[in-house]
Amino acid sequence: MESTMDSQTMPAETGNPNMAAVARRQRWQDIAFHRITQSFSLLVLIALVGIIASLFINAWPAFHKFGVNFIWRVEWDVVNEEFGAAIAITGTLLSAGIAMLIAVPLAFGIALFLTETCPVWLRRPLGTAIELLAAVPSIIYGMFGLFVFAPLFADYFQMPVQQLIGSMPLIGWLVGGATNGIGILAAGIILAFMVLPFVAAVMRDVFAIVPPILRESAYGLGCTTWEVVRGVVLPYTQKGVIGGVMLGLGRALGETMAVTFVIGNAQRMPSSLFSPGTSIASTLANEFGEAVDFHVATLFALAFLLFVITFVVLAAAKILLMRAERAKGF
Amino acid sequence: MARDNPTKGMNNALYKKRQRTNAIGLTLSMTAMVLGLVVLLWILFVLFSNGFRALDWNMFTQSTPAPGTEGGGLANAIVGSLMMVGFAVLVSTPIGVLAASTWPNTVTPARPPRSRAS
Amino acid sequence: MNTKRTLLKTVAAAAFATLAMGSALAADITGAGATFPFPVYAKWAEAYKKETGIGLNYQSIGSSGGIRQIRAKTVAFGATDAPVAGDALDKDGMVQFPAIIGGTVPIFNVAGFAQGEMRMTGPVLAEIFMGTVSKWNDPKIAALNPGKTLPDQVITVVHRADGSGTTFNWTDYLSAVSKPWADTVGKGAAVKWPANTSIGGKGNEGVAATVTRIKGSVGYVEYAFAKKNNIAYMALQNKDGKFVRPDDKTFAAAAAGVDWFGVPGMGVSMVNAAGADSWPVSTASFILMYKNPDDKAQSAEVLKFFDWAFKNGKTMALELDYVPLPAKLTADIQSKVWSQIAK
Repeated sequence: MESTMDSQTMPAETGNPNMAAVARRQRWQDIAFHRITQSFSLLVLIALVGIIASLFINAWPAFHKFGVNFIWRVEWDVVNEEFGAAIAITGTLLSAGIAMLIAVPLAFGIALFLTETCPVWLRRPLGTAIELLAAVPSIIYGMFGLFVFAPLFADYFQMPVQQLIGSMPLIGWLVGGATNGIGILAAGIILAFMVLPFVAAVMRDVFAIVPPILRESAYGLGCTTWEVVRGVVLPYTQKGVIGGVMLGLGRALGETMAVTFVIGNAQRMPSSLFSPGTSIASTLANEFGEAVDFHVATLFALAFLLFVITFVVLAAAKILLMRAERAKGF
Repeated sequence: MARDNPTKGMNNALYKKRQRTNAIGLTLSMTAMVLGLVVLLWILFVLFSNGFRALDWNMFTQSTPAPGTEGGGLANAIVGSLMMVGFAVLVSTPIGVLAASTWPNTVTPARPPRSRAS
Repeated sequence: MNTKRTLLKTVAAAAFATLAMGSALAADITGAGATFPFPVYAKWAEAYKKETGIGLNYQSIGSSGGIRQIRAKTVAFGATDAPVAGDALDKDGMVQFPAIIGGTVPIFNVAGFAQGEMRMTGPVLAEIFMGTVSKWNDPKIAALNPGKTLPDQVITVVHRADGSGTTFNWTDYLSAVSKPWADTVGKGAAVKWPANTSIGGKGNEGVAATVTRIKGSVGYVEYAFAKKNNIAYMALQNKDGKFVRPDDKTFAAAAAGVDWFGVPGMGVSMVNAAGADSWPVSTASFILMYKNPDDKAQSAEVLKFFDWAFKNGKTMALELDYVPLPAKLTADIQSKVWSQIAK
């Protein structure tokens, strides 16, 4: 009786010396393969740490001069070398936040439609159209935003809205300012357009792999479509959904060209949704080419802060996910 | 008996409420879908309608000339993009595949996962 | 599967073929720097290559990028809009000379004004960019344009979001004509724009696109951009008090009155130049080269290229709305500056 070949047993006792050689070779191959994959994983980690370290080293002159206050200093004067990250950080967080607020419900709607209520013959073309849009380069969205979207946005949204609620006491200040079609809200909307295909594609993929038996059991119990989605599909796919949202958020935080065209590039703290501002990525894109000496260090400092923000957001999402999974008993 | 008349004694209000919620939820999701698709198709349409005019044989075979000259194409940009993407895929695929395969999945977790039964 | 394989093979073959073709022309001269003269350098390079077979590889990465690259000796010449000071040139062992002249023009988006009809003076323009004059129907603007109805509209100031030689030229002019501007803002490739309506556009194209899309906006771009895209520009009052429009004649008039060798390194500022026909915001773009270059052959090729361009490139430059250097100036450059470059 031949015993099963695994790397632990030495079948020399069972007799055939060829088998022993094969087993020995396989054992070395196993170890080599483990070591190779281990080193590649470590390579990725080392690259990440290397980037963070080089960002910090190049940013050190700026952190040395301004200290931790750099993060909430409201100032950006190149000529007098007075810098602060608050304006850029505000712009990044606001535009990414608006983008996610708009994109996630829309993506959820698209994913729900594609998996539950869409006629089967329409699913393939629609799904392909969405994936096609995920592949469009982001600068196209920026150009679309400036040349097509901004004039329409100014005339058909900003002006009516400002006339409607501009004079209301509590929320009027949100829509104050010039209505020229570019600004924080416009940037947030264009970012939403850009992030929407990603999040929709991921959500649709995770919704589609819910085991049919779960869905059909729920339908069999008499649940309505909405209850099936809320009670069965969403909890089952929450890891994938949050992963998709995080993917979109990561892109929105770091997006450069789509934002630069429509955010107005004004180094001032935005006072309303319609006012121009700037984000970390667009400040870097605009000023890196002509920056000298200390200015370069401040730009590296901004890049380092963006890294930190993205890391914090992703870590928070992971923690949220772990808690949710533990609550469900996984 | 309840078996002959399944709806007898049923809480009609609850059933209606569930139906309403379902209708509202599905309508909202349909609206979201329509909005999302309108946006996406608008961008595709703008892209194609504005770009289609420039689509001809020259665009793929001629390089970009100096500013102010008529004609020319995007051949150099296309070749450059292909080379960059090709090289990136060539370098990153082995590293990514190997980094994500066996070794990370054999590392023992600090705490064994709780079983669903407990 | 078979079609995929053949497609991949053809793409790879095409890529390698183009690579091979490119590397055969290894005698190219390299340069990097300002974006402002890029169109005319590219045009010259194309024509020069047709005639001599030697190409020019110019990276339009901005003036600071050009200075960085020439200091790192990765290119044969650097190009910059903002001239380098004489003592910095001496420290690096470089020479500097102008290659082409152009101008920056103020553009605006107000209905009812034909090209160049809006009249403006330097001090009022500075006040607009500072934000102290905030509406188009301000009495100061109305006084300069009698008989025209100006709208009761907020002036949106559009500036360059990225650092640039054009901004340097523009702020240089505003500093020269307005003491409040010089004291509070100053001049530079990137400054802190005081007006609270100011918006930044990326590149000349960004500023032009933004101004044409926002009603009541004002900005500044290179003259070539304004002319090519048919954007309304203003007529400015020059130092002699005359209202002039930008074109190659007024740029050339500004260049004529300049004492080029009065400043070490020829880094003369041409803003607010004297002369009845001078455009007050003209500028030259400069070339930086080493006195003792490591690669003397390349350096000699660069000088040959510019010699050819000075002689044969005049019509090409004028076509692109730049002003070529006058013959006497090029002769002086060749005798006084190029003679310092070791051959």
